Amino acid sequence: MSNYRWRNRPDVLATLTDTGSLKSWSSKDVVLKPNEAVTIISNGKIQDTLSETVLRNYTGGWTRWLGGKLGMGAADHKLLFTMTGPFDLMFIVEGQLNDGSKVKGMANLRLQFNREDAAKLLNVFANGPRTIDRAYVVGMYQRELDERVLKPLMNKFSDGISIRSTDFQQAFESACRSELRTSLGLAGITLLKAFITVNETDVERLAFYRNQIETAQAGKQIDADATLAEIERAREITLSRIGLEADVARAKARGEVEAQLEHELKDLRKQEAVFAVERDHEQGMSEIRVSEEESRMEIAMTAFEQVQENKRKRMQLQSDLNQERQSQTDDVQRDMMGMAAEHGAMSPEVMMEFLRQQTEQKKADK
Amino acid sequence: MAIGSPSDALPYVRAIQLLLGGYGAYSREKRRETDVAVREEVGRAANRVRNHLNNVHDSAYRADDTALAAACSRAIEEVDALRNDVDKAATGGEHPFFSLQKSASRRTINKLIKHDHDTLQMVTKAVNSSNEMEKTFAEDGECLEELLRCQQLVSSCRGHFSERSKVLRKI
Repeated sequence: MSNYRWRNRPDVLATLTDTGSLKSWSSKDVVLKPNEAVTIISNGKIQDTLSETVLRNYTGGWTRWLGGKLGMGAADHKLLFTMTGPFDLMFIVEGQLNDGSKVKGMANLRLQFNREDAAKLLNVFANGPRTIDRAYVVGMYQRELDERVLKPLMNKFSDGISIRSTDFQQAFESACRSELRTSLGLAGITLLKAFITVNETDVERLAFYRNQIETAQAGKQIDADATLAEIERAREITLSRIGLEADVARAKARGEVEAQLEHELKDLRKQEAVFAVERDHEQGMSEIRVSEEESRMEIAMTAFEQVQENKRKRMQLQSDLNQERQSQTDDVQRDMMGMAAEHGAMSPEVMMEFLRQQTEQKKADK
Repeated sequence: MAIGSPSDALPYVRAIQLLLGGYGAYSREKRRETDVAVREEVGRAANRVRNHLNNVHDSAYRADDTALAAACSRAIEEVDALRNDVDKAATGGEHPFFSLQKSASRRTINKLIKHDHDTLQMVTKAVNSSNEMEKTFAEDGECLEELLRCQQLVSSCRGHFSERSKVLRKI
C-alpha cells in the first residue's frame, strides 16, 4: 500500500485536492505528520481537521472509482492539505525616510498556519489557484505591507542611522502585528515574528567616510606627536652633552679630568648620534608616506601637461600649414589677376569669382 | 502526592472531564485520543491567552506606548513557544504483543492524569490572568505588572508541560 503525497515542492504551503480527481488502481493511505494537517470537506461542509494520523485507504483505488460511477459516496469530497510548521516570507522593502533618503532592503515575516485555522484557507482558494506556495502569499500581502506598514513606519524615522536602532525593529514588528492581523487572519495565518534588513543608506555611507577621515587625521596626529617627542629627547641629550662638555672643560682647566666623565660624555654623543639617525629615518618614512599621494598626483599632472603640450604643438603646426597654403594661394590668385588685367579681361564676374574662391579656401582651412 | 490506586486519580479525572467532555482517562483503546484531546485543550487555552495579549498589544501600539507593546510582543512569543511545544510534543508509543518495551502500568497512567490536570489548571490560570490584564488595561490604561505575571504563568505552564515527556517515557 503506497502513501499519497500531496506536496512535491518545499515551497508549497497548502493545496486543495478533489478526491475524485485522484485515480489509481489501488487505494492509498494519507499519512499526516505533526507539521501537516488535512481539512476534510464533504458535500459542501467542513467535517474535520486532522493531524498526526493515518487515513487508511483514503484516496484513489478502482473500487472507489466504481462507487463514484454508481453514485455511491459523497457527491463532493475535497481535502485541504496544509503545512502547519512555521515558514519565512521575504518581502521587498523600498521607501523613503523623513529626510528624503532612500531605503532598500528585505522584510522577513515568520508565519504559521495553525491547525484549528487551516479551514480558513478556503477563503484564499475561493479566488486563487488550487496550490498555494510562498510566492503566491508574498504577492497577496506585498502591497498591503508597503502601504499599511512600511510607508507610515519610514515616515516616523528621521534618517538612515535611526533605522538601525532596536526601536525601528520593534516598531516594525508591532506595526506588522497590528496592521496585518486581520488580513492574515482571514487566510488563517498567524504572525510569529517580523524583522527587517536594510541595505547601507547614504547617511551611513557618509558617516563611514567621516570616520575614515577622522582615523587618518588621528594617525597623522600620533605621527606628529611621536616626532615631537623624539625631537625633545634629542634636544635634552644635546643639552646634557653641552653641560657635560662644559664640566669636562672646567675639570680639565682644574686638571681633574676623570675617566668616568669622559665615558659619560662618549655615551651621550653616541646616544645623540643614534637619535639623529632614528629621527632622520622616521622623518624620511613620514615624508615618503605623505609624498606618496603627492607623487601620484605629480605623475598625473605631468602626464596631463605633456598631453596639453603635444596638443598645443599640433595646433601650432596646423596653423602654420594653413598660413603657408593661404599665402601660396594668394600669390597664385594675385598672378592670375595680374595676367587678367594685362589682357584686359578684368570684369565684375572675375572679381566675384576671385572672392568666392577666397571664401571657399578659408572654409576648407577651418 | 504520589498516586497509587485508580481511585486516587478519580478526582483529577472528574476535574478534567469538566473541561474535556469526552476525556477517556487513557483507557487502553482511547490513549491516543486522550492525549490529543489534552494537547488540543492546552493549545486552545494558549490561543485565548494570545488573543488577549494581541488586544492589549494593538491598543498599546496605537497609543504609542512602545514599552507595553514590546512587552506584549515578548509575551506573545512565549505563548507561541508553548503552542509549538504542545503541537510537536511526543505522544508516547503503543507497543504490540511480544514487544520488549514495558507496558504502561496503572500507576504511570494515574501520574499522567494528575500531570495533565495540573497542566490544564496552570493554563487556565494563565487565561484568567490574561483576561484580568486586559480588563486592567481598559480601566487604568496600564497593565505591565499583570502582563509580566501572565507571561510568567505561561512560562511555568511551558516548563510543566515539558515534564510530560518524562512521564510518557514510561508508557
